[in-house]
Amino acid sequence: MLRNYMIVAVRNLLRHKVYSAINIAGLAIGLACCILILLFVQDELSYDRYHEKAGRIYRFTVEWRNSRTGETAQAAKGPYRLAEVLRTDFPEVPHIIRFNRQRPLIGYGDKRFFEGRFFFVDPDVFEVFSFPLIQGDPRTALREPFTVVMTREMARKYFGDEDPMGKVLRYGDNRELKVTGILGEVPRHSHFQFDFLSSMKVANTLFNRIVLENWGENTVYTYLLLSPGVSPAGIERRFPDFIRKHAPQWAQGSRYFLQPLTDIHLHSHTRGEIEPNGDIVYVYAFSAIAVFILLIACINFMNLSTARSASRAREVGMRKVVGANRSQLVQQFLGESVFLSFLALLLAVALVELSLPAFNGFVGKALDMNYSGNLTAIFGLVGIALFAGVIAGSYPAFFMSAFEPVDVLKGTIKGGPKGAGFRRVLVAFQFAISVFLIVVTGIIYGQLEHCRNIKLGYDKEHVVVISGIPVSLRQNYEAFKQELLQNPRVVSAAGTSRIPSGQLGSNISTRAEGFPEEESPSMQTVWVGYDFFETLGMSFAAGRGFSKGAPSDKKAAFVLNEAAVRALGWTPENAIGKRFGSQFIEDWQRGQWVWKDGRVIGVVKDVHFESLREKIVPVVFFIQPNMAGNFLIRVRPDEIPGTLHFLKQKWQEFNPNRPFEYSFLDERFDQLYRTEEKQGQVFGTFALLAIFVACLGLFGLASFATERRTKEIGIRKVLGASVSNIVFLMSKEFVLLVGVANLIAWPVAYYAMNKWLEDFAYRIELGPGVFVLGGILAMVIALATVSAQAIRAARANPVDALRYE
Amino acid sequence: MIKTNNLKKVYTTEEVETTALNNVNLQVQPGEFVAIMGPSGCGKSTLLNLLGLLDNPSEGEFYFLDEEVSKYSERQRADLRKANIGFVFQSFNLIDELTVGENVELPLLYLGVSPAERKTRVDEALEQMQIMPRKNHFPQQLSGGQQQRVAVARAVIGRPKLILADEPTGNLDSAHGDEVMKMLTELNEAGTTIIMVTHSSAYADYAHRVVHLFDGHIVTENIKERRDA
Repeated sequence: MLRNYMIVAVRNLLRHKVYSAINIAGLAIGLACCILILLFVQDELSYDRYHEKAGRIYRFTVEWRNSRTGETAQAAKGPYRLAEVLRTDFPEVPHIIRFNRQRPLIGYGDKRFFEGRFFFVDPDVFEVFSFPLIQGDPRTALREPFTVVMTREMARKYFGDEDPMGKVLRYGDNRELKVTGILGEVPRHSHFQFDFLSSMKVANTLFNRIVLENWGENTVYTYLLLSPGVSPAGIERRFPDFIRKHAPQWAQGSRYFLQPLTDIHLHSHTRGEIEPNGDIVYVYAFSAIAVFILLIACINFMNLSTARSASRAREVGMRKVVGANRSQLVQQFLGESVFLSFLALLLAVALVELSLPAFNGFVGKALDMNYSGNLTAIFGLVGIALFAGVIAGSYPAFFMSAFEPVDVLKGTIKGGPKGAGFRRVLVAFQFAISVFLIVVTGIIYGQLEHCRNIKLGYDKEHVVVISGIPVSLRQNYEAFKQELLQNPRVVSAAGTSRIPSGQLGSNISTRAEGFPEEESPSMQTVWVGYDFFETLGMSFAAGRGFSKGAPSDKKAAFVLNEAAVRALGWTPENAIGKRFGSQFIEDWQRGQWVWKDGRVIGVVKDVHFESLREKIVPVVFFIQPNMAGNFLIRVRPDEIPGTLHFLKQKWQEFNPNRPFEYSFLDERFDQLYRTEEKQGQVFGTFALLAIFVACLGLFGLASFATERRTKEIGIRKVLGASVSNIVFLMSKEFVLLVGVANLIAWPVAYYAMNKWLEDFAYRIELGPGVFVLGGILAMVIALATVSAQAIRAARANPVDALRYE
Repeated sequence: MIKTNNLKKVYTTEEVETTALNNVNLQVQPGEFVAIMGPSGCGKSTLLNLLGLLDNPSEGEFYFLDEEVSKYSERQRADLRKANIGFVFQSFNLIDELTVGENVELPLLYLGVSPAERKTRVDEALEQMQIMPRKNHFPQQLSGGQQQRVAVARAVIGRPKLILADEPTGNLDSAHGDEVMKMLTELNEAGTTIIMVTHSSAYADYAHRVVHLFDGHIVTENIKERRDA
């Protein structure tokens, strides 16, 4: 029996090659998209799970609540002391591991590099995390201070092929680190990557007192390993008392909690994440897209099979006559569609292999189909194909098996009107999905354009940024600047503690005139050198910037932005001359904050210092070059390579032991929206695919519709209809369908994009334009698909058509 | 074998009610060869459909092999049909995707016959209809007469008690038509009951009895040979 079904299925395929190809191709594309997305989702969900004890590892996180505004913010970093205090108060936590990130200059021989993925870490780190140590003893490697463990790649970078164990690396200017271990490949799906792990035992030597003791200095990430059976909720319940006991000044307005390690990658968006995380929202969104596209493909399949049922009608009738009952026929047709589905699966797998490199590029991963290792994947694939085959084949199977032999054998079945209503619904649904994807893509790109083109308030072109300048070099800024300005192509330069397109991360308390001390709002603070505003091209609403000509500017002058002025209840004009105070660190060794008091001398216009996702916040600027770890240099647009060469030379004159590392401000700016750009590309691609698959389906349907109406067309032509009359007639019903599809898609797209745009403090308005455009585009494509068929049918000789009977 | 009492069949579309058959009383004895004649639209095919258990009557009783089947479900009719009735149609109704052999084999698949036995019986039937050389050809490759022979082979392979033929010679020229009638007669002489719908009185003459239908009623019968139970 099975053989009979197979034979018929295969021969049917071969007889109608075009339609079979459309069917299989459409389903294959749907399956391929599904597979790619599932690979992505599987990867995202697997972050940090490779640690043996992953289920018991938690990260200590703080949530701040601004009592005035009610806004909350979360921070992943905590104070250094936290770990020791936790150890005493919570004995059921056997291990507490701190990670402290550094960007030191590491050297060996004449190789010197800044290493941005360097962490000081507590020695029992290997008891908690399953990092693969291939050389060295995990129990003792980091027990001593000034020891370090590095990845194989780093070892090769510094030591070439020599054995790295026991070798000594230079750390900074005057310290040494002994290599006590080598790490194998750290799995890619970790919420952060690192190259060096060095013993935290050096803390007392290297960190200043403020960092070591102050509860407000948040410099380390703290991870806890709970004993088996200990519940995190139980520990969290004791935190309020814990805070009151050790840091009563923070008890108000802060809440401590534990983040499960495996949740961090997808659910954590605190300030100060080690690396940007993914987002569970994308996992949901992409999963939804996968389901959508598969649905569209299945719908196509359903539609085409049902439409073609007329040609199978006689077979169905005959089989019933010779004794088949309905369930046997259902089996037969379901079996056929599952068979086709598996053919499509083969094609889909081939498509996936072909497109993996490009897809990996999009999502920044290294996904692959691990056939041998990944049993879940194989089952998953087979399952999906089975599922698609059954879903797609169910409607046609039930539809066709219901044919009565009586109707069929006399030729009165046309496979037509009965199913047509449902089929129309399916086509409308397909186009609704396509229109949705088109509109979403359009809006994402629209917002991106907006981000790129919005007036930032400063000029980001042609500004060279040197970042990460250590304190010891900052006193040379003036001299360095004067040297640079001798080159006519250097327009201006200034030091700054924060670079636009970065984050403002220094919320410092203030003393403002008219406010009692506790109530004066704390504000983001940027410590700058002279010419900061000129270098960035920022303009003033009132007053002036800092100038060397006014000696008090150095010690007692402040510039506020408009947002700061508003927060204080002042106007730009009356702010000038008001008393103001802020803080800075005078002595880096002792790490003490001191107050600086003076007056407001200028109000600068608001700029988008951070990404457009953030609202513009109050910012205070004042001169304090020793706090400025970055240097901005505005250069002329011509001959940039030459200018860079000059800058490098000068830098090395002043800092012979430091490599010259720079970036451009506008490149950093573009990085901000890299995620959205990727999103746009992904949605765009999926929109294309969805429309393509929907058109495949439409093409198939249209050709059947015309075939079915051949006789009708012939008669109409004989009676005098023109080609365009016929085309109009055939297209009418599809145009209506696409119209309905739009009406479904628009509100859904509007709602979804509104939510997405909420993330941005500065966003485009959702006007009707993009929706209408999306609808028109879909309409044009649909018409093009359908009219090709219609024109062909309309041009045919009516005599041939009428001879049909 | 067959007895109908006041058989009535009404077709209802949206607004129109068509009475295809009315007050049909028919008896057919085992081994009889009955021809049904009448002008177009008189209900011949409808009657054949009812007799072949392809459809249910709207009213009336229908005894098939002493069972009252007028209210049988589709499944029950199918089971009864595949065990007892073979069909031959005017337009052959062979499945284009199957070869001659596979077409003929089809009823046996639904009867659950074993592969070995299927093969023997198929070869037997093909020999009987003298179409064996074409076993692996497709219907499109055969002439009309050959296709009908295949259809007859398919009809008899289940060893049915009854064969229903709906204008079996309608699409054939006279030589082939004669051939088909000869086959039917042979089958009948071997014991199979045959009910045949036809337009041609010449071919109706092959039968023992001719029943005339007009506007859904039986109007007259010509009896050539009465065959009693």
